Amino acid sequence: MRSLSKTEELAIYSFIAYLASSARGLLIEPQIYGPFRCLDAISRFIDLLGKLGISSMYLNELKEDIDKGKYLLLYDEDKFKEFIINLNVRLAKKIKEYLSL
Amino acid sequence: MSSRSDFDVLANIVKTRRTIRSFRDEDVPKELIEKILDIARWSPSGSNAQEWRFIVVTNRDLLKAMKMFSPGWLGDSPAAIVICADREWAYKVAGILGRDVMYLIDAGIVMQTIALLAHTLGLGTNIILSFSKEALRELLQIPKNWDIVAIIALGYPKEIPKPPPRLPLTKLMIWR
Repeated sequence: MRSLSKTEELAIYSFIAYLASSARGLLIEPQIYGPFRCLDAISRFIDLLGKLGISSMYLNELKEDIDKGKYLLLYDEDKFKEFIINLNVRLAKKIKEYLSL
Repeated sequence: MSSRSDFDVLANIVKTRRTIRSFRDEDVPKELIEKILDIARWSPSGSNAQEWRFIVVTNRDLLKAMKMFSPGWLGDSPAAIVICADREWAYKVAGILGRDVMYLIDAGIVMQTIALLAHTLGLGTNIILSFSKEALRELLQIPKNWDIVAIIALGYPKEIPKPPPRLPLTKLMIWR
């Protein structure tokens, strides 16, 4: 097990603080903010992995797509929902491929 | 004399203001922020209570820490104005209505003024309501009687998004 640098630790606390404050906000925020925060959390998680030295082209592309897709909420809620459904299909395909199913 | 009427000028400012979620890494001069707030304090408030209070944050570490607890804060801005309300003061001036209702309305009015003034100076704003009040209070050491209403992220825009759709006036208005 390697020890973490101060920057890495801060990145981890930052991600945890994001999740905790999202949970706090979602107690009173609109229901649709929940899916948005989950998407944003994926993006931030990929960021975090990058700061910890873990990255791949697949993850970077995924983050880029999510960062575009999450803002559909502002313009077209139906397309936003469609994006989330397609994201799940896309990830399932990736897992299938990974497990040679 | 200007060929454009005051209405046209203001209408253009209102219509072209966007919520900015991507900022350039460039400090906003403190004089500009003061200039904006000095004019914004001329906004109307119920019973002229002027119960809004402002905390201007430009310290990068503090901004980073605030952002950690503000899920609605997307993009790094080099400055932020935390909009607070002194509800005890509002109560003294405007009673229960002031303390429980008006302070939010007044904060909304002053935030729009700030956003529009910033826009005229080439600055972008994002009014953020998704944050942990408790965490911000701890980070900023906010006076006990100040209630946090919103954060306005402030900076020079990197990207200006397209305007989101607006409901037609016919859906919003009726004549009697």
